[in-house]
Amino acid sequence: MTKPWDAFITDRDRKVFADAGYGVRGRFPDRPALLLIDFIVANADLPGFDTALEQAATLAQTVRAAGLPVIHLAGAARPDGWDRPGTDGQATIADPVAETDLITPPQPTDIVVRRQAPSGFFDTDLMGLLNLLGADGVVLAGGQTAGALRATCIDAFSLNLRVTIAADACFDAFEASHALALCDLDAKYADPLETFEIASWLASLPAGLFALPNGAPDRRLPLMPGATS
Amino acid sequence: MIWDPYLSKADRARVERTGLIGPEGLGSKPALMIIDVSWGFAGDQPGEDIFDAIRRWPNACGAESWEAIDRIAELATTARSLGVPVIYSTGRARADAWDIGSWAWKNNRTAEQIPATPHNLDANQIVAPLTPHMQDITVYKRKPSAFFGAPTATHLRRLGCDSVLMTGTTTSGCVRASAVDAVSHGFKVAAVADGCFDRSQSSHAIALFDIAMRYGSVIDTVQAVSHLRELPDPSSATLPESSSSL
Repeated sequence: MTKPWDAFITDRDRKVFADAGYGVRGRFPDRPALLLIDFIVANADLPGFDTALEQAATLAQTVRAAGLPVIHLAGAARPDGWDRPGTDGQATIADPVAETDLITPPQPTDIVVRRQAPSGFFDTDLMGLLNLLGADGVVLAGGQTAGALRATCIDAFSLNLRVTIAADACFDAFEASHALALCDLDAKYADPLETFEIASWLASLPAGLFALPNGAPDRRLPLMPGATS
Repeated sequence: MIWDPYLSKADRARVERTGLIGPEGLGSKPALMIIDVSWGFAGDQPGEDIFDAIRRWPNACGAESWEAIDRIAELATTARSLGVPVIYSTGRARADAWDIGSWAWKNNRTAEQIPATPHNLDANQIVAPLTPHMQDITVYKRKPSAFFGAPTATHLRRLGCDSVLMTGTTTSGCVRASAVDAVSHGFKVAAVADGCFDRSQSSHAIALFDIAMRYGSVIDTVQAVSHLRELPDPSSATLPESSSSL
């Protein structure tokens, strides 16, 4: 079976990974949450974004229908940009708040986590929310593959969560970074698979696994002094 | 650059357009970080071919390890002479390997690595040519990042550091994860390319590319040494007086 990274790695690398025992298939978690990473305005023009968004939307529908949690990961920023450390190497931007808006509005039962570093776990309570849900693993989609998605995957791995990646629902500014991120993550940290395969697994899970939120609209908290929402 | 042969045509065109856009600046109070340069990752036979080394040490990175170790030794000597903190990280695990957790999920040779191998050397011990000195600092970790589940960020703040020079292994694994955490904590990051090594050639090159595009600077040992020498006051006033947890 061909892998997205086949054309980007050397023959020596292929043999080294195999001989060293890396890249075996992990197992699926019992209680997965879907994590949609940075489908935000700032990334909308990146190569592969539209295709990834389409795949992720299909996956999110399956996930909601199965009663599993959907968590959106996006940025947080003051309008003056003081607190924005340039995640994923984005250049200085005119309106940091608008740039971190989600492209697709979250559903009322979805959960939104905003952060200012690449990883969704860094300086956030994402792990607390996953504990509240009783999740033991995450399905990742979004980008950038070699930026926020990879950083989030490494933290999830470090927290001993099972990680599955919807590889065809990921996007990155660079083809080589995308390919090598999936290669490295497959070698050591996670299972990159295609969306249709993940969807059929998720659809097969028992109903009523999670006590999801009842439903409330997403509300961005103001980060400027004196601002009101 | 080292990553050029690994980029696609579209990638090269994009870099041409944007330049390297990682955060700029090397800081003025650096620490040298030496990530995981242990027998397990370097092997115990300098210069040995990677496929031979891997038979005994599943995580070994081959001959490139020992070229980088020479560079790291040079850099560590310079850092110590200037009072710049030298921080080592290395792995830890219980003798029964219970705490290895997720590492075992994607690799079928993890059982061979923990704790001591049949070679009378602990896989997690720092290689002899880089044995830590009394004023150096060692952090122990279970996961890729030297910051995860370890007091590294607190140490850096206690030392008054604003930046880190990253060396060690693997470039795409623990060095990269540590670089991402360092920048997330607000430290400037520079990866010293010839002081980093990886079992995978492609992963090494693209990890450095990603760092240059997203997280900081990529420099070589010569540049790192001049940077340290040119700083007006790179020393930390709060180094340990003498301690070693090894």
